[in-house]
Amino acid sequence: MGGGGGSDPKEQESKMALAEQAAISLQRYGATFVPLENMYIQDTLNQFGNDAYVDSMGRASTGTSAIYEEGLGELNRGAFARGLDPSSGAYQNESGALRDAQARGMGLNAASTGIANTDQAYKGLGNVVRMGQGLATEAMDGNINRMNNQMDVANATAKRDFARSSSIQNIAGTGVGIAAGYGLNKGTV
Amino acid sequence: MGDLIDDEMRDFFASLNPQVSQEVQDFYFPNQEGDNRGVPTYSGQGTNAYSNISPYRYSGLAPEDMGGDKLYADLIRAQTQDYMTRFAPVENFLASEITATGTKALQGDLTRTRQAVLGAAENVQGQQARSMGRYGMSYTPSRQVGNSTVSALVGGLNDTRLADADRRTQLLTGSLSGIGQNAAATGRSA
Repeated sequence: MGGGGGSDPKEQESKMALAEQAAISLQRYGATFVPLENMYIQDTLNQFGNDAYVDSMGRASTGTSAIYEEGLGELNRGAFARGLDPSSGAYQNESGALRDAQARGMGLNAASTGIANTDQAYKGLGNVVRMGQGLATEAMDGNINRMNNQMDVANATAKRDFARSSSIQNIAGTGVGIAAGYGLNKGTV
Repeated sequence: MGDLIDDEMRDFFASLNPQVSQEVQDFYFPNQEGDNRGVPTYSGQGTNAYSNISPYRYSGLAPEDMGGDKLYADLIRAQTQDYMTRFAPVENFLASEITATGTKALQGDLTRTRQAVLGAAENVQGQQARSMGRYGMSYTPSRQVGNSTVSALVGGLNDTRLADADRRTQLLTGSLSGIGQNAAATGRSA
């Protein structure tokens, strides 16, 4: 008989109740949130697809082009109203330089948007990883926010390009403020 | 515009020492395999590791049989299965994207940068030609146009590489660095 020989340990009823509560919570998580998480994961992976790049880069290029087009149009109207000969070397050099700047702005802004799209896709996967690790996820930048950031850059670049084109401004009698006022202050596409 | 760039590039490459020429071409015009990798396949879609959980499966057991413990064990197994099915593949994918100098997205980004810059140059030349055509003038791209495009292209490609190197650092120090620490902590507490 020696040695104690106590009865088997018994589990508290509350422990069973807690386990049942946890099981019900996980069931609800599986039914409601797992499909949503899977949707988010798939959306994030889709951002690596060609369509995502074509859409965002196309919008960036078109939006940048519009910024320069309006500015160039204003300068042209001002120049021609003052009798500037469009075949003159001065005019052609300057308008050619601005067209170069437009091409550079469109190309590089579209390229930056493509890079930002890749960054966003990886960032999204980073969030998925954190979800899997049970860590808090950070807020994602929306597509509109990212596009507006890119267009802010394009606007700033365009203003600089037009400001550099001093001879056309002098010839045409227009200031960069006019160009900026008409065409370069639009923050959205 | 693409032809103009190609001709100028060809002239430029021809002027270089053959080895240097090859290195420059490899840098700026790398093998385009893997440019369009498409959407990665996600295998976790449609799985629900928690669907087989039965909260009252052990309710009838005697207190000595530790039903609550058994149910907790079931939940932990379901969570592990969920993690391995839905999240571990994403972690593996993310880790496999990292290369010695950047990420596997670099080739695609370089190609897109190249297409964006050259495409924009061609587009704007068309606009300029139409604009001058309205005044009865013809348009011939100057050599400066080609130089400007090449300059933008080289700058864009360099920026793309820098961005990719930054991305690698962010992945290593952000998304992925916590995983190893968590795994080590889990291992120590087991």
